[in-house]
Amino acid sequence: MTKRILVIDDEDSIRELACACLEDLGNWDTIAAANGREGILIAGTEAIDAILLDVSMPDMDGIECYELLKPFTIPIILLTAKVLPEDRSRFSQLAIAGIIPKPFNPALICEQIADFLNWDF
Amino acid sequence: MMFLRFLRGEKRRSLEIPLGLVLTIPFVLLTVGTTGLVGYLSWQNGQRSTRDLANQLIQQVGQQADIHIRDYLETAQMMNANHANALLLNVPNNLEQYLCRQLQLYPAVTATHFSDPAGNFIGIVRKSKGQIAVHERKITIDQTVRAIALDRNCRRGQTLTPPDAFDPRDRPWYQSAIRAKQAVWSPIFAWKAAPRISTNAALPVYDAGGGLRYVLGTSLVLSDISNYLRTLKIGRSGQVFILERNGLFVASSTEKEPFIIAQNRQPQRRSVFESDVPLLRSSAAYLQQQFGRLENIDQPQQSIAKFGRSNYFLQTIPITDPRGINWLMLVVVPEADFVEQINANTRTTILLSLGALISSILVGLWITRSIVRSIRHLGQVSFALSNGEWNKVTQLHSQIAELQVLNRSFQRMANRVQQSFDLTQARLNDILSSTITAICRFRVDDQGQITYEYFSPSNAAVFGYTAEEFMRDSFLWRSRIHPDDQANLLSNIPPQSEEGSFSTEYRFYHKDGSLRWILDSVKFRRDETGWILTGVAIDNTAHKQAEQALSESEATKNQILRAIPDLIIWMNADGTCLDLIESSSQPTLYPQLEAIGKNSLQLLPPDLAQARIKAIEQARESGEMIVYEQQFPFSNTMRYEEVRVISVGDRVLVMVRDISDRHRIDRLKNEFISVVSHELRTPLTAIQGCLGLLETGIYDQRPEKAKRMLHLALLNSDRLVRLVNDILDLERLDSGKVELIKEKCNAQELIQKAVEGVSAIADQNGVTLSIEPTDLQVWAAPDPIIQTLTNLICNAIKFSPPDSTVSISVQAQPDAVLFQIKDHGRGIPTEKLETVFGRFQQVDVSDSRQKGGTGLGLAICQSIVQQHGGNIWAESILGQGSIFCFTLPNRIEDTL
Repeated sequence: MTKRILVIDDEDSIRELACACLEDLGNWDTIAAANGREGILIAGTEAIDAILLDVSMPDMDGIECYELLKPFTIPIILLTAKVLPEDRSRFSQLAIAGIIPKPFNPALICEQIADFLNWDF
Repeated sequence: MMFLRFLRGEKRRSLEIPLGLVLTIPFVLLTVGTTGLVGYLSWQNGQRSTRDLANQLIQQVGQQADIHIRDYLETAQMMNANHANALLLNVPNNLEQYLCRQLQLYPAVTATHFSDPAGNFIGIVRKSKGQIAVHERKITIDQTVRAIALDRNCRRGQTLTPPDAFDPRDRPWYQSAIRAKQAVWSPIFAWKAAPRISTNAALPVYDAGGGLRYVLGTSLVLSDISNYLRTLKIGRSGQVFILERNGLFVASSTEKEPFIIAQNRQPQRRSVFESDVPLLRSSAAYLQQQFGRLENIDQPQQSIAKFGRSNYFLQTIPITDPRGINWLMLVVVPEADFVEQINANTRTTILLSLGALISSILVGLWITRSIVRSIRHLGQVSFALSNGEWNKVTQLHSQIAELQVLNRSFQRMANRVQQSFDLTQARLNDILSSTITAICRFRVDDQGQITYEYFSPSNAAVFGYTAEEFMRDSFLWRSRIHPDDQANLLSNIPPQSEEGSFSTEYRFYHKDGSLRWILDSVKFRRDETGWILTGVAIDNTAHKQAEQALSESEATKNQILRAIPDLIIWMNADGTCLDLIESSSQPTLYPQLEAIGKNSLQLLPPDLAQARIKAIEQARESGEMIVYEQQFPFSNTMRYEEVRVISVGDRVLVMVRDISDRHRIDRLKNEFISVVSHELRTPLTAIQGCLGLLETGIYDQRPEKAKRMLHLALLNSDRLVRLVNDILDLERLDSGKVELIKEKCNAQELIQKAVEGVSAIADQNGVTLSIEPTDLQVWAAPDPIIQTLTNLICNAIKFSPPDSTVSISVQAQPDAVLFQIKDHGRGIPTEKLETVFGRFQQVDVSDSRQKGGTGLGLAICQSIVQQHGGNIWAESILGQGSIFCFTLPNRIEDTL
């Protein structure tokens, strides 16, 4: 059965690009959410196998969103431009499947996700 | 005495008794007591032994008189008996011769006579001057009595004047004899023949038949007894009286006769109670009082009677015989006769005692005087010594060796002290003239009048005026004091208390005209007339100048230290605050007075204090500056401080710098970098991702997808360019690298140009732009202002709902031109009205993506307006719209 990944990112371009990569290169289903609230709503209602979560978002940032998504026990991978050392140390505290820094390589992103999630690719 | 009074001084002291009295009074008392006691005892003893002696004497005299009188009486009776015997044997043919011879044998007998019952009488009488005469009455011849003188051989001589005629048978002795018929004493009677009274021993001679043959008589003239009594020596003025028991006077040792001559030339006897001898009268009265009647005294009596004021020894001896004599003999001696000697002795004793007393007082006074004089001399000497008058220690002329020694010691001491004083004086003068300290001694009375006593030579060095100049003009010193200092200085004169000191500093015009600072330490004490003040003055000018310089330097240093934006703390090694200098540019964290004396633990939270103590230790050990940072919450924010600790000697200098601003800037910078990094990465990610995806060739067969990816790449590439441009613009504006070339512009034209750039967007959003026409001129760089207006109008359009209007207006203000861009959008929350002008501080970050903004537009607008010297701000009512305003100040010459 095809895996289904929820992509939460406020940047339209990034969201669209990420979804295109996952669908066209990884052959996974994607559901896009433009902000945290929308993402939580989808995660609570749809069958989701993994979540690709942006960190820098207005209103509710990725970390807050992460806290609220935790109860769904869905693997979460952060897709973030925050790549400074202090950011990394902050993220290391979180129970997340992995981090993919922006800018990402579209040719490799699916492989990275499969690695994090122990999926066959 | 002057000396004593002087010593006594002002104050009342305890009782002071002169030494003279101290020495003399006990001496006198002792002498008076001793002589008095001895005198009294000897007087009393004398009195007692005198009485004993007197009694013995009187008794002796009494007995002697008693014997003598009895003998006398016995003689008369004996003579009668002799006559009787002679007549019985052989009646002498010449009776006259016989009687004469008998009378010559008994000189104590005055008269002896023969009479017969017929009335014949022959009497031989011893007349005065020892002449013997015969009184003869012969009945055969006539009744008269003839008197014929007899010579030594009892032969008749010339006829004498005859006495009054008398009949012998009528006479008392004749009567007594025939009555008693035996030898008897007649009562005392007055003679017919002479003014005499006598008692006669009478003897009647009877014949065998019992017939009276004749009567013999022998007269005892009482004055003879008196004459005998007068020969007795009884004391000095003792008297002996003989009286009859009926009180009639018999004889006495006084010159008085025991009878008086009556007018008929007959002697008349007297009673002792009427005697004109007071002593006899008093004695008789005393005896009668003592014994009731004189008859009652039958034993010798001794007593002491007091007559008047004198005592008398009284001896009473009864003299009786069987033939009718019953007399009393009184021996009366004044006690004074015996006591007189004693009294004389007592007087002598008293006089001697007085003499001894006076001489002892005189001797005592003399000794006292010599001791006191010496001691007074020594007192004066020691007083002179204490007053420093060495030369008054003079030679003492005293015989008291100890005092001499003492005086010599005083003299030696005075000499030594004088030498030592001279030496000290010389040294002191040397010191005083070489010192730079001016010494002055003066008196101040209660009125504040100053009298100078001494100026040391060094005054010349300090004040420029010599001691003589100061002494000459008593107002000199005062007049040269700086007027501003006079009141303060003279307020201490006269002083307010009895004794003490004060220190004062004043400016003084030196003789050379320069103004000197004088530091004067004054000690004062009060005496009777006022205060004595001793001032020690030094020229403190150099010190004062140095002090001022130091003070200025200190002030400068403090100003510098205050100008340093650090809190500077001097601490000792254990972290106790010694001093604290706060920067004038910093808020007061540690009030200085509270901090000084406290240690780090009292001043700081425990963790900071530990860090401070550790840093101090390190700094002291290493000798290097230790730098560390500390942070703590302070008035709702975190305060960051950089602490530098330097060991300086045994102290530690701690400099605390507030680096909160730097921290905030760092944080802001980090945040900015973070944001910029994010803002740059986002479009880059999109561009790189789109291009990377295309490169995989996955969309080679799907051109619409490939085209979409290219579009996304292009879109983000535009955004990246805008972002980079805005960042560069802002950086150039903020760093002042862009020089705004201002010119006079028409506001209307500026707005028009901005509106032209955005009209397409306005149309696109269905927003109408309303421009209020204006002809106002502004002084501005046109392009940046057009950019500003474009940004603001563009924002307004973006946030306006469709079919709404954005109004642009310009107003003239007194010294500026106000631009306003008003929309009817959702408005801005009040708390964000200021922050919207910050970088990447959009009200809603998502807005920028949707509205295509970079988040730097308003920051650029603010920078441009501020570069023009104007202000930019936003006003808003949430839900109704916002107004963005900015002002451009007029050029100064335009306003003028």
